[in-house]
Amino acid sequence: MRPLLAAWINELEKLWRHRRLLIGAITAIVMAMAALSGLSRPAAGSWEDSERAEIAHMQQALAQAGSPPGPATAARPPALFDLNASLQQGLALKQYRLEHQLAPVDWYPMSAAAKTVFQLAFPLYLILAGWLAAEALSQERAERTITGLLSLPISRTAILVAKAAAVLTTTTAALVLGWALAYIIYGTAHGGWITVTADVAVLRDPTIAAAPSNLLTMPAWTYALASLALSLLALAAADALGLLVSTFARSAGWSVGTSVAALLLPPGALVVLTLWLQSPAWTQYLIFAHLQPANLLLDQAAPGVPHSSLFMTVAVLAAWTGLMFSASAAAFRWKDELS
Amino acid sequence: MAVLEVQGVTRRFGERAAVADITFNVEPGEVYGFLGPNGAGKTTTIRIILGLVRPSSGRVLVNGADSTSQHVLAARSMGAVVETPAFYGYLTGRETLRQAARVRGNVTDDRIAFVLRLVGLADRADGPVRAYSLGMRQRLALAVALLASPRLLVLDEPTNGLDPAGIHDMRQLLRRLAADEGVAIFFSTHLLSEAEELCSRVAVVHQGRLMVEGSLAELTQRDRHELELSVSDPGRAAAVLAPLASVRGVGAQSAWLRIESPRDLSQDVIRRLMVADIAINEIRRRRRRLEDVFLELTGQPGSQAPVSAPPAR
Repeated sequence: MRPLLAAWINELEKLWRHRRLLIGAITAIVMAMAALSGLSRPAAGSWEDSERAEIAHMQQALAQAGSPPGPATAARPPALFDLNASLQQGLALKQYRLEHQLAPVDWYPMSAAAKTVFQLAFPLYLILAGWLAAEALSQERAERTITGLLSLPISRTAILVAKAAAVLTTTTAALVLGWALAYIIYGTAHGGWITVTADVAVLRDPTIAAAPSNLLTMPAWTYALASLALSLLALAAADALGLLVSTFARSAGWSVGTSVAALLLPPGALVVLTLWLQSPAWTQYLIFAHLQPANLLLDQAAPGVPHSSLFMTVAVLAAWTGLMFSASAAAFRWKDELS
Repeated sequence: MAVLEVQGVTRRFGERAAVADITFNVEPGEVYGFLGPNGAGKTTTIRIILGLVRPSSGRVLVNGADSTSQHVLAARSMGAVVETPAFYGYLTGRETLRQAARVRGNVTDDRIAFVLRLVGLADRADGPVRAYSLGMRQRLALAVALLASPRLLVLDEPTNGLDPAGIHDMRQLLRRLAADEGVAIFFSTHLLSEAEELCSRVAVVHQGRLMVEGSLAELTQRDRHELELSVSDPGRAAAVLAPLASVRGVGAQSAWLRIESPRDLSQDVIRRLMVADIAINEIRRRRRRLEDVFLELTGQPGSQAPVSAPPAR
């Protein structure tokens, strides 16, 4: 246990000394996003007033749109996006919130910061995890420091575990720091620091109407913690994917490029594919469909967007993470280091 | 018990055997030289000893532990400097040692300070490694290798990049470690003069095979005795000695005769020349140098002088 702990501390030291600028740059971008989002919100007041104003706007829009087109017929196929239906769903949700004193998620600084960092800015942290993990072995190999590392009295599996744990620790720390700074920004801009136990509501299934039976309420702090926990699963998956690429790569640039591309390109392609093929069942077993798990906690309806259950997301992320890490551990254990 | 036992180690890359059935032992307190031309299989052998490369067959035991299947145990008894040492440029020399010490355990700050003084890096220990010259990196690598008082030091071209003073210090240090602390030192070098100066035993590898192994005396006298004579009548002396052994003239106008034979013929030569009434001005045994053995075995000359140190990076 002691060499593993020592190797983890060593890896943390190396990551911080080598990549603190990258971590700082991502934190700065997230702070800028939080500041922009915070400043664009209406000035402090009651959320009820804000919701009532929006309800009035939506009712006006519905009146201008006229009567709904009615059910689809053979001559008129169903529209992909029904504006009227969407407005009516949104209206029903807002009225329900007003009746049950459920503020929108982004009203309280704690949950607003969570929504910004764990949903909007999360791809940046996913890239950070993939990047750091992709460098973990490939850079040691490219700079020939791997010889010294593997000459120490520690097993290769322990080295890999220490590297994976250090990347996860660093990206988690960056994620929590980003969330804390966003919390400070939202709190400073709008007040309400201590409102952490007030309830917020998310949709169990955002692809269908926002009916009361489809709402899940929880305190703002629970929302933030649930978002963090789900995000950590995705960071671990990105970490394992980067390590797997790194196990075989000799060039750090190639390894980082491949890992980041694998994290960014397939999820977008998968959304298009899912819509095109009308949600084939097999896509839900791919890791790329679950890399932004905090998006499960949506507070407004998103019809037409692929949606997964919490169980499926957690199971798929855990299974792929375990599989990729085991594969890289097995390969690294048997690999000759000739450089 | 031998500290390092290499038992029938072979490593194939496809059809090609980089190392073929190599066997040797290194005892405590011994300085063992591993010689061979470029591409002979020296570095592959060292990587197998360190557990970086798996042997196709055979095994390596370090202090009784298999370097592949019991890597952690084997590495505890071993310190190594492999090729041109590489470090994390953003760490300082002291931080580099602390990282290694953390994993090895039971290494105090005092020990770190001691090895830094030992290799002559105490003054520069807190500077970033990226600013170190090649010689300083070589010293730092030796400091890392010595950190946990290893029983076996594995060194690949250890004086590469050092200036003459550094080479002298390094050799002194290696001698002292072997003689005073009983450390077994296994090192590869292309400098035959270095091997002659430092090693108690050497092995010569060529095309992946161990060509010869033994003490310097055994190697230089192996299968060959040479005498050189200055006589009053070289032409007649050559004719008299011809039935006895291979005789050829050397030096200006072949004034000297060189006699080569598989056994010591000095008594027979003197007797025959006296009987033939040929005066012997001078007779001497010619000691073969490691260079000659190396050349015979590999067909390639070894390096006799250190290459000049590359400029500081």
